[in-house]
Amino acid sequence: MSHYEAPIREPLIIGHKTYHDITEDIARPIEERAGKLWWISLYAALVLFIYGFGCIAYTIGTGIGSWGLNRTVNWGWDITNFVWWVGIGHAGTLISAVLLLFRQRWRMSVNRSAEAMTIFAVVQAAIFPVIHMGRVWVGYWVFPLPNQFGSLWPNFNSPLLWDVFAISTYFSVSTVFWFMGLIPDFAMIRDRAKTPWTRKIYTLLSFGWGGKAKHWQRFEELSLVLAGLATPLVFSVHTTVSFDFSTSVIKGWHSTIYPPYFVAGAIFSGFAMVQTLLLVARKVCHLEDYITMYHIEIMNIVIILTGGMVTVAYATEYFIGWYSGSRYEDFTYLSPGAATGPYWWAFWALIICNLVVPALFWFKKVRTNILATFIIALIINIGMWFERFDIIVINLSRDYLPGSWTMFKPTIIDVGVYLGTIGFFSVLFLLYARTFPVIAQAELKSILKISGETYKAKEGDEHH
Amino acid sequence: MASNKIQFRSIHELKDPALNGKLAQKEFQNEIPVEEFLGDEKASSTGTSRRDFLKLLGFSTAAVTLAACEAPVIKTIPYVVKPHDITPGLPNFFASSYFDGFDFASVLVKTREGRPIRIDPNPAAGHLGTTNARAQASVLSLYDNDKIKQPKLDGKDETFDKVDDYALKGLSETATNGKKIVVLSHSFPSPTFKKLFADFKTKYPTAELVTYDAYPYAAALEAAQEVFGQRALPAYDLGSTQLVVSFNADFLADYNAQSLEVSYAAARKPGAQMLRHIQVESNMSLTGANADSRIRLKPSGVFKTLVEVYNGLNGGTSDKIAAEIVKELQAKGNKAVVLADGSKAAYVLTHLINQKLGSVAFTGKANLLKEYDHAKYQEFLNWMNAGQVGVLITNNVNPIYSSNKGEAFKSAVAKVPYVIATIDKKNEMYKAAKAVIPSAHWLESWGDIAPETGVYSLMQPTIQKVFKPRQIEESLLVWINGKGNAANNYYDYLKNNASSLLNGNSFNKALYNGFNSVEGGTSLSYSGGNAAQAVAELSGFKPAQFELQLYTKTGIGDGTQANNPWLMELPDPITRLSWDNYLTISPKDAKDLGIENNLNARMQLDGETVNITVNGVTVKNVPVFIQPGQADGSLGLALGYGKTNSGKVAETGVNAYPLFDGFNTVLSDVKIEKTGDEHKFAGMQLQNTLMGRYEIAREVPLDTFINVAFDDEHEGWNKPLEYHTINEALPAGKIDLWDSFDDTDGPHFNLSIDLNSCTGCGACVIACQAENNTAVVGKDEIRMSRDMYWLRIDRYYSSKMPKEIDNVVRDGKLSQQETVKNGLNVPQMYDILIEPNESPDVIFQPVMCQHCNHAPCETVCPVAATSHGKQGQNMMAYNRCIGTRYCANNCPYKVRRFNWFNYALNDKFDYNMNNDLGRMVLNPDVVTRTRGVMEKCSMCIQETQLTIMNAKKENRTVSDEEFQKACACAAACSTGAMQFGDMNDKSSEVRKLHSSNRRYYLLEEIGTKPNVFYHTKVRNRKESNV
Repeated sequence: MSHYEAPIREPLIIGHKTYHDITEDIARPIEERAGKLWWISLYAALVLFIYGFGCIAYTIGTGIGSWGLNRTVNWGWDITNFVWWVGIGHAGTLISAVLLLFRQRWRMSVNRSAEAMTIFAVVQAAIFPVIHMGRVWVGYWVFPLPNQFGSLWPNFNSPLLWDVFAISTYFSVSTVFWFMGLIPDFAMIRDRAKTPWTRKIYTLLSFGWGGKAKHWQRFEELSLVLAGLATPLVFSVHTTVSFDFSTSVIKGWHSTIYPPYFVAGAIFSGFAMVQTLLLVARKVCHLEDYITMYHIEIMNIVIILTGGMVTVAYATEYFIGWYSGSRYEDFTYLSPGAATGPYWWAFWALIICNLVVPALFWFKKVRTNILATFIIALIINIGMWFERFDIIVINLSRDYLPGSWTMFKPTIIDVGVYLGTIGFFSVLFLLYARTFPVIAQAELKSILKISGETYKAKEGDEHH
Repeated sequence: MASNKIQFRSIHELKDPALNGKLAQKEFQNEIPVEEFLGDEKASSTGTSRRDFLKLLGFSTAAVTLAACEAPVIKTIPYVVKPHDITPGLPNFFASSYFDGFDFASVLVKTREGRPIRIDPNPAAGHLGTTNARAQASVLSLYDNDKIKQPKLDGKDETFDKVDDYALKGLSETATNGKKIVVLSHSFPSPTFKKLFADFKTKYPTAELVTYDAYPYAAALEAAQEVFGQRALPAYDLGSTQLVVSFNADFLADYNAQSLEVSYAAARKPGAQMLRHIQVESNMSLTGANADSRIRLKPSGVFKTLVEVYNGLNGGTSDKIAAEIVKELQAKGNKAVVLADGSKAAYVLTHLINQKLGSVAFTGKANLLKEYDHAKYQEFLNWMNAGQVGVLITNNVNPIYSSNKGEAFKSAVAKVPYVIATIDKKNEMYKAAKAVIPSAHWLESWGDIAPETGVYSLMQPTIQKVFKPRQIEESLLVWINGKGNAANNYYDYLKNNASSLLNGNSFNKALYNGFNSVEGGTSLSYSGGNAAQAVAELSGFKPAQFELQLYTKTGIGDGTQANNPWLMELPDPITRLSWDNYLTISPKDAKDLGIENNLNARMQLDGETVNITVNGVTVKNVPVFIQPGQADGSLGLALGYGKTNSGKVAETGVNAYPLFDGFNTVLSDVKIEKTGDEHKFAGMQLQNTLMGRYEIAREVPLDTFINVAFDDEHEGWNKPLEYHTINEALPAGKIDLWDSFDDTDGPHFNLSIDLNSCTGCGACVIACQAENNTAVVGKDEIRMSRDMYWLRIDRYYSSKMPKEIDNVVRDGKLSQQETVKNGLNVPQMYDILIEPNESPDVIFQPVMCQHCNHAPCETVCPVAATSHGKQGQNMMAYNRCIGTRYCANNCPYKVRRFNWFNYALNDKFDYNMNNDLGRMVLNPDVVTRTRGVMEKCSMCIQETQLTIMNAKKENRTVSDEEFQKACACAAACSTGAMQFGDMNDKSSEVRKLHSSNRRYYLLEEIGTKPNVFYHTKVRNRKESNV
């Protein structure tokens, strides 16, 4: 790793920090007593969580009929939410693995939380494929387990089965990668712990980390290996999820553009979610010195890039829909099927939230404005939800035989399940923010003398 | 000399010959080491410790608790002595006659272990052996849990003994005081019943038999009286006609008491001689939907046109439409026929026109199913009002509900001292009667019906009586002979009487056949008819802003089976709405009145209700449905709905009978008043047009069909599909992503569906439901678009293309580029296409699982719960399904149905599957599905397998006819629109149909390679036609 960084680059750590300052700053949220705001948020999230799981229990107890689905639209909010959450869970691994390989040092301030978000989002995502099954209790049949039915295997042709493998792999690799990075930081907390219980827990979590040179060497090596392993997963997961649609024969789904389009969309939404969460965490945990405006801007630039890819993908889809001359295809986009049909609001919500509003980031003033970033990131999250809703529900509701056309409207249970996962996600994230070092401080310390404001200033002086 | 050889079984026995005896004394060959076990020092010293004891206790408690979680054991009781002709697991078929007072069909009843589960057509009976939806569903009415189960006296359960005491007391009292004894029955064309009544009259000379029908065909019968001198409907045969002109006559449904669909379909085989059908009508009827040319006129206009056609044939007419019709009629001469409905005069005039034309459709045979005599009935009402009726015995009629003078009837009945009702529900008649005898369903009755000239059809019970019903014949026998008389057996009575009717043929043989031809009987010939009076009457029908035509629906008919959930849920073939009757109104009138039907966020229809008033009678809160094709100024309303106290299902809808005088189905001067109340409709199909996707339900004009090759490069009307590759166009079969299945071994099933023969009658839908135990889901779930039909009949309105986009249609396909070239943008094009024309053509398309050889559903199931069968089926393993519903999403035909809930044994779905009685209708060969699994058409695999097994057992090949009957839908189809069979059988009908030039696959371009194929509809209409 080069130890030189051009002085023209903005410092990644501002505020003349010492190593000890970093330790203090990162450990503070864990060691301090929780504030009122945190408790209120936790209770609110818990309420949503419990309500949502009540709705899930009701669904399992009564039947999928408690949702708004019907004979034509057999997937609705369930799979929309699934793809949405999986998409959100993309930024974390991209930041920690891909950017590690590309030696992007700015990732060090955000990767921990981004990855936590990834894992928590994947947990939410995983709920949906499970509960959307009509018979959850035999859901384990999707795994290739030895069984008493003779040699009865799952159907390896089914994209749903690929999903099972893709998501479980992604989840396990991300979790290992995340936890591995946490070990030196847990050790730091352990060493500062004042109560025996805290010490015991963090001792367990830090796996006997001693900070020896050998430990650091292995840590670095494993980081690289895992980054190498995780990188293809960033692309494979959403590619596989997109196969659910692109390998089908339903018009509007059957489209070769889906894999890259889904991956770009996932990173787009993942970064938007990272922004949403970090802007709050930064404020609440006083991490402004570590997650600087530079970080925010650079993530906004990633959003511009992936948003641009998504825009191109939309344009391609509409063009091909029209150019193909297939009545079923063009119908999806230019007709009562979408833009002018009963779901026009969802269609235009997508266009506005994903194409029009994020374009504002082309203005430096907007992308360096925290409030604007926060609002636009939220809008992107909404837009990406609509994207999945549009793909799934609009295409199904206007399928081949007009005689089967009908529409989907969620029930209170649909809404409850969705809110429940948001609650669950928030619970996890809030607990995480109070018990885990939210910034990879050990890594961050490695660039303090390269990219810290104090040192940058010194270097700058030397050059003059 | 005795042998001194020793027989031994083992060396041990040889050594000790007594060994065998010793061993026989002992249960166990080796000693059980009890001593050893009990005396073991170590064992007793270690012992079972308290801990072990508690462990064992805990374990066994847990084990017992868990064992208690097992599903309850439902005991089956085997036959102790197997009945001679019942083999558990195998069906028995009995020929019988379906007759419930309204409908008739000669049928085969399929029974399993002594209970009827399905009604099949009786192929020997020709057009009388066809089953409509109501006949198919009538088996469920047998298991109606809402029926009266016990005889009653004063509303309390009583024995027949007590009820008979009451009846006999009443009869003898009345016989002495000279008052009248009236048997009030629905039309009952049973020769033996007639004879029985004659006996009854001998015993009680003041007895009278009065006929009352809810939907009495009075106008038709009066007209027959006038024209033929007999009270019988003429039986038509369209088989050799080439033109039928119908004026409001719904002759493919309930017009003339018997559908003409069989001969209609036969005459409509595409070709130069194809029957042309012109329908002049107000409501969009099932018949009108099948017409080649349909002319929308309100009832007064229809009558006027009829008069003008009559004038045109007898001189001349100035009416343009009538002149066109006359021209066509004259061209076809005796190969044409005219039918009309609505009033007596309309019937009279058509009879006279047919007489003039010498129409061959008029066979001279009589349909004898309807016997209502208006004058006699009026006389009876007068007797009652005058207090002259001493005993009233009713047989399955309820004039309090089903006539416009219900209240008057009710107060008149109150004047009768003895009222004995034979009835099945606790309705108004039940309340008016002192003694109630539960009526027997036709499946538990003996009887005979003479439905048509030269036909004698027997009815036999196929089940032990369910609860305690008694058919009226048995009651009459008891009241003639006295209680406990050996002669009270109606079977014997029937047998004796039938023998005299059967020209000496064996009764048992006749019973076996069900349907029997006999000689002689009524024949009709033209003998009168006052044309001038008829013309005057028709011209006297006062045109008004709104005119109403009452009609009977495909599912409910006159309402006899209104409590049958299958029929109530069966979507109307035209409106595709279920669980409702409603006022149909034309789009223009609706707009004028400011009445709207709007689609909600679930694409279900929300409307509003109105009060309608005719002749001072008001029917309140009638929902209004905007019906494309409804004539402006006309309204339609179905009879038979809105029953009270006849079961929960029958309460659906509004009762239109108060508007019906029994004679005239058309009424003038209708007042509509908006109530402002909302109404929620439940629809199966809310997108009415094909959105330019004309290749889904194909049709071709007859001229083109005859003159142009189907695969003509430019003008071809059914061109084989080609895929355009970079180099050349290849036939669809050449390009394939998948390996094909070997389907040469054993049968390979295909189903052919001819859109030209399908009239949309819905019999197949009910047949499928009965065969495959599909659930009734109720109005709320239909409103969620969650019907459970494995087979549905999509109905599309194909509008004549608006001028703007008429020239962008190429090869029956709508091209977007062409649209844009023609100065129309694409959303505009779809806006035009989405709304049906105000006077659309209609096409019906039955859709079930297409059993794709390359099924999209099969590849996507993660657990391989659906997979390809050796015989061409796409098979569904319910117990493997985990319910991801991916298969349903990926099905281009949307034929898969998901069990959103448990539909059986669930109080939320309180229909037949929620009570023990109703579940008796379930086919034991098909499992009922639990919640969370996908289901769909199986091509009746239980039947095809049985057919194959039977043939295998008898070491023979399966005949084509056997397979044709194996699929419930194809077996139920009266017009032969559905043909099922084995493609590997070179002589099979379905194979022949496969090579037809009208054959096409639904959505062939997806490459699913279905095993179901369709035939293009041919419309017999020229550009110049009306």
